[in-house]
Amino acid sequence: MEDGDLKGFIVKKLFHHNYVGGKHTSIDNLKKGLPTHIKGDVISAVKLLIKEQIILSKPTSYGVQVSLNPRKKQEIEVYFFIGSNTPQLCCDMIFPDEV
Amino acid sequence: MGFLFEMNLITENIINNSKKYKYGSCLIKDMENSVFIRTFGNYPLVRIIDFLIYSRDFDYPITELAKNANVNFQTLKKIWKSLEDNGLVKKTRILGGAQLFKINTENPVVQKIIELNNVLCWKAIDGKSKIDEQVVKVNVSRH
Repeated sequence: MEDGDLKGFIVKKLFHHNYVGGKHTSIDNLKKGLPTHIKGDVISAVKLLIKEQIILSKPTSYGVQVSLNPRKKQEIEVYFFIGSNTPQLCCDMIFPDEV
Repeated sequence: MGFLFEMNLITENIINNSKKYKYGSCLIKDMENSVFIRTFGNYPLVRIIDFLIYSRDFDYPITELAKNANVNFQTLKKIWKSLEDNGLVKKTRILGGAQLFKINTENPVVQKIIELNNVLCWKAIDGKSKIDEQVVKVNVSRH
């Protein structure tokens, strides 16, 4: 497993469940659905993504909450193609000005 | 004395349960249903495809898939044959006697499903940002 796969999984999961901007979820929820031997690396991957400013963190009294950064749409799209053979998707169609 | 002892036990249980409620189940919420499930309905097949889409980098045995997609194993076994026959999923390897599967991203149908899902998600995000902008505009106009 590469480091990019885990980062890609986290970004895909947050994007898929629409946790972007103000809508956030617990960091513990990101571990769900991963193979057990990878679950331990989630927090370090999240830290890297926070450093890259792709993920926004929100510390609360009940744990760290995370969401995707809505200003990093193009960087988010890069993670969709890591570790998969999916062709270029129709982002040009949706955001013609930005791409 | 016996009565008092029982009362103490009951109160302790209540306190412990309230702590569990406060720190365990209440504040750490499960994730909401994804845009894909909200669009196509909360059915076992949709839940399975939904899980397979966003975890397409990893391969899983069928039991893990059922657990993670929140589908009963017997239900998954019924659906699984049609998924395999249509080429939506593929075997990757055998680990400890268990066959591991992942979504077949080379299949054009799967590619279109992923594309559709991405469009739906971007639309949901775009709609939400527009609503946020409208709220800001209303607040500015009030002031």
